[in-house]
Amino acid sequence: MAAMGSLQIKWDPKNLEIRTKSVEKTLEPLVTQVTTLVSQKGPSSKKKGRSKKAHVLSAAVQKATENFVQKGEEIANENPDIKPDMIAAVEEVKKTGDAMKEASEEFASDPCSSMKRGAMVRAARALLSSVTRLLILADMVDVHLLLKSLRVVEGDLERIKNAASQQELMDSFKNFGKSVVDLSERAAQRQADLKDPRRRDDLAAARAMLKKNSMMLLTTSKAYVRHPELAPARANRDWAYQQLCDAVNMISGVAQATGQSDAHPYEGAG
Amino acid sequence: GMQIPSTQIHPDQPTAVQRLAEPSQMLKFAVVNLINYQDDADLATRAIPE
Repeated sequence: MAAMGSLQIKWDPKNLEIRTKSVEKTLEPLVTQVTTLVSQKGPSSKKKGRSKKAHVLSAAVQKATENFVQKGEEIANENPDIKPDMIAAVEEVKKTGDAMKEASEEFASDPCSSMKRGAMVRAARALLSSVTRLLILADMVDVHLLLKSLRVVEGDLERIKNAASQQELMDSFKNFGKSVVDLSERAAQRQADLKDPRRRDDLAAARAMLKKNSMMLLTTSKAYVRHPELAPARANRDWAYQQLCDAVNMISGVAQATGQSDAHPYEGAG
Repeated sequence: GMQIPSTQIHPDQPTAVQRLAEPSQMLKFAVVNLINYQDDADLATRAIPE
């Protein structure tokens, strides 16, 4: 379990569960490649040779590894909460990248040696596996950012609920307006990317609730702050507030959910 | 006035995964090219026998 400041991510990066289409789309060719590399058999006795071209290809792998590492470090530095986990995964890519560099240079100097080729294939497999782990972790970063945005909305909702004057209410709503738009956009990205159709639906429903009830919370809160003595004013405000809390909880649940989703009791044959 | 969250999907900021997608693909292609180099060497050996 990765600690994320005040947040806890409920899933384990070592589990390697792929929940989004982006990760799946990116990983599928990598995983296929890892499998192919392992199942390939190298020829045993071929003419010995040296090749400039193999050295160029080896240098290209090193350059591509450096680019990938650089992007990983950028993301790590932008997200201090998850930086240690991210840096550890980047270090693993660097380590396997160094081993690949060594193995590929050996191979480039003697491209017909099946032993050197075999060593390079093993190094390539380790490198692509560490790349896979970093991609899964990057997906966790995306979830983390969504949850962070969610906590901001929760704080703003609490301030709206406790506002004692129209001015305080309007100030709180100004912040809420920005944070709820940010949350809705992050939830939309997740909705577009999730593989599970039920969870995509839940996010769509939660975002519709945010849209529908935000303005309702404003009008009911204004009425309540003006007339705190009226029970119906409070009931209206509480209802809109609860709707928004439910939407936020739904987004939180979907963002952290793992495994197969459960069918709704009303789903299926009647 | 207050901003109302939209229900449209128009992400303008790429996610962390989307930012890593291209470099990881480039790395995969580079690895594949190097691994496949053996096949080129075999072909050359076959084409020009000793």
